[in-house]
Amino acid sequence: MASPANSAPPVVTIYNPANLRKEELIRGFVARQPLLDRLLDDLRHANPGTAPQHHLLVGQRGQGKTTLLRRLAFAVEDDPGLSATWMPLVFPEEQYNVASLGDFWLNCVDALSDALDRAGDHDASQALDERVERVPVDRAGRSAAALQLLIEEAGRLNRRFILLVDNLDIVLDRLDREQEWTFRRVISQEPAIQFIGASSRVMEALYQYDRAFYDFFQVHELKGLDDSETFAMLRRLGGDSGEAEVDKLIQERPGRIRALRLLAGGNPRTLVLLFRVLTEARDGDVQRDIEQLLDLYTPLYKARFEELPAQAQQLVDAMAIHWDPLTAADLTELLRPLSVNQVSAQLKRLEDLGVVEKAPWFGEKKTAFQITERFFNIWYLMRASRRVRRRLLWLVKFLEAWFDREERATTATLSIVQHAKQLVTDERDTQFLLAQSLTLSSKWHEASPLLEQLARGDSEFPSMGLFRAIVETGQIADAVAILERTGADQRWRPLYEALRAAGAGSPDYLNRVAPEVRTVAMEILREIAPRLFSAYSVV
Amino acid sequence: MAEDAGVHGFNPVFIDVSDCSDEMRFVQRLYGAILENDPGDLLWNHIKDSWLGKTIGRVQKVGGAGFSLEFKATDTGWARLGEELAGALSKLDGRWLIQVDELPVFVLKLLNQDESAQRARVREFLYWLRRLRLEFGDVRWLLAGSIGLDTVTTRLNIADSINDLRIQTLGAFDAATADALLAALASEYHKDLSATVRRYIVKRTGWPAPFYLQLIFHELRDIEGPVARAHVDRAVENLLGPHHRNYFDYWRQRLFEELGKPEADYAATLLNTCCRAPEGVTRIVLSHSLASVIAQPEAREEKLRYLLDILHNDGYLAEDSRRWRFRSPLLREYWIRRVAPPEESHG
Repeated sequence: MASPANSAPPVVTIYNPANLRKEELIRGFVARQPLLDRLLDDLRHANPGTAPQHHLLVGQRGQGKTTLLRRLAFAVEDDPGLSATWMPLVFPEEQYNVASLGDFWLNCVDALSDALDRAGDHDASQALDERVERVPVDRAGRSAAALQLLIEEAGRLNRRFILLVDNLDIVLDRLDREQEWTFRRVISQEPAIQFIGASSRVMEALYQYDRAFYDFFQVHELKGLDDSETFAMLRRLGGDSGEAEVDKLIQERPGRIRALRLLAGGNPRTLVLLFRVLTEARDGDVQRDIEQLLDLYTPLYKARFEELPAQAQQLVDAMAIHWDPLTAADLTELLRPLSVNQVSAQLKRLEDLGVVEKAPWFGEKKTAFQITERFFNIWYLMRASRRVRRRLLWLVKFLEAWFDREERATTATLSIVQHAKQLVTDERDTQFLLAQSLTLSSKWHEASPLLEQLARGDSEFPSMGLFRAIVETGQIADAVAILERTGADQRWRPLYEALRAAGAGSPDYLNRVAPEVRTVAMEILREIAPRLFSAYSVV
Repeated sequence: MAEDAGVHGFNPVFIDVSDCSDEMRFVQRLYGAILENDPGDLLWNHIKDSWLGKTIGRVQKVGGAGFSLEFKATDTGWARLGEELAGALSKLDGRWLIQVDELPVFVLKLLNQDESAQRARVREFLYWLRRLRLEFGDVRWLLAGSIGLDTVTTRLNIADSINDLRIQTLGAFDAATADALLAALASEYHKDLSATVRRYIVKRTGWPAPFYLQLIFHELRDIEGPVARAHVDRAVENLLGPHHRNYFDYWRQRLFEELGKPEADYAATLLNTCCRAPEGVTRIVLSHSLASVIAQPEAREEKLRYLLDILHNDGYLAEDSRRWRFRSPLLREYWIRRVAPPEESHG
């Protein structure tokens, strides 16, 4: 087991984990501990005489790939048993200098030389550098000689090398098919090399049957953290002394954290920053928390956006402001006079850069696109016009109310009488109840003006019972029109989208909606149209 | 089935609804079949003076073999005729077995007229049919189709409209039954088909569904003298040729009919990936093959689970030792040759 986080506060960086000092990185590493343990366990049990099982981490930016690779290197170095057998080789995050397999093996030798130098074996490092100078320049000779150097060093040191290669896609994209097969042959036969790579996308080379790396790596997809993983991570970040405080925060305001986790897409890097925000302002609200988090991200996101060419910036701007997934044709409409071909070409480029991604769609054959890093989309919306920013803030309020409502409901079960009293004394809730009763009594003509009045009010959060009644009695189209007329389609957007999904007769309708809205809209749909979900259990 | 039904005291009724274009045609066909099979004309005598009876013309068939029925044009929607049919079922004497073939094809036809508007219409029709099944205990129903009705209803989120049905999948024969079929065909057509060759046919079929066994056999019918293994190889090769495309292409077509886009495209991507690997494909490779169209791992996993259920249920794929492969090697071969993109760009 790696050492747990100690009581000192974590140091976090949103830019480059490679810039963190060792103890800082270890202290902040909490999200991917189970996977780290598993990889270390595999190393401990690897058979010395045979080539090991190689691994690949796949995950979007910020999911912790680079940090995990670095943490693994430290864990091996710090474990006497492991370090007697294994020697981690660390590379620059992007290996843009690779034009052939020989270049890659030379990078491995350079990484080894750096590692020897860091370990104080300067003579060995210098000797290795001199041997590198004598490696032939022709492609075939270069590859064989560089690999030979690496294997000889493994023998001399009586260690096996762990190649921790970030952005493997950049390396593989630069190798031709023949080199891919050579690469595979070497690492599948050579016991001295353990390969642990990382990539921000699933490469075709992993699933095309005729490709060398088809079904070759053990792939670990790093997903966003869910609620319980987030709570666990925050507790670990709290450390020994802060755990009780974090526990209290989680118990008192879980809705605040859940709403923030949703908006951050479960991204561990963002959630580590969230810890800082939460502990600095224990009584804050979600809007304030988000604003503070976004401030921390501004330099990174601004720089990333400004790196894009002008036309790509136009696309990203339109997609981020639109917020929901959209098709290439819809995007072209927004970006006239750009042609659909120009838009498609830019989309492809942005997809390759990992800025946009394809998403499932509903009802048509077209593919939809969305901004990959959802928190970047949130940041962009917050910096847009007041009108656009308001759409996001309404969602923030809705999410907070939604998750608070669940907390209230849990508390209320402890005191049903108290809850009932609250219901009858709260005029707004009474009106919702009345509208619900009227709807169920086939008096929609009386219920609908009540709904209209409620939807025009300043209520942050509507009662679900009324909308379930609306779905059951088939008044969806009318209710949707009322929400649109009163502007509640924006203020209560998750509810509005859930109603539209109920009208379309399919939860898949919500594929048309931004993921931040979709998650809660799906929960609402389960409440107001449960029949749509019972159907799924049959097959 | 119809013959056996009589032995067990059922009046059998069979209709094929694949060519019915709307609910009215469906109900008329069903009504007509029941009236024609009602031995004592009890039902006809009961309804002939009613509104319903007045909408039906009963014409003596040429040669005197029973009647044919003609439904007169009426402005009344199918719902009224449907209600009348429900009433009529209650008047039937004895036990009835109603067999409806290609019901899913009819349902998809309703749906494909305009998916968004017709969803509610399909829902109404299937709930009506369910009510008929539940209300009349003496009437048993056998609904059949080459497309899974359960898949269609799940896609439309109305799976509860068929939750009273017991789903029975007709798969391939076991080796002994397949051999018996081939032996019976050889005997009927006087072909010299040794046990060794019969076993080889079953082996080449891989998944010995009767349809494919018969296809191969009929390719062999023109062989003079004893049939050899080389003849079987040639017959299989011939079946996979472009002029026999129709034997297999319905598997591709029905994906689109059954699932609609974009799910059918996703399913085709999975099949394109599976067809390349004779040893089968792991689930994670299948998930990765969808990554270019569904980037988010959670959404991708949800879609993969849904599609694999369907592809397994409908006989495209089978899972063995955690690998997914084509259930029928013949279909896999067809898919490689005629459907999947060339290897360099597949996916």
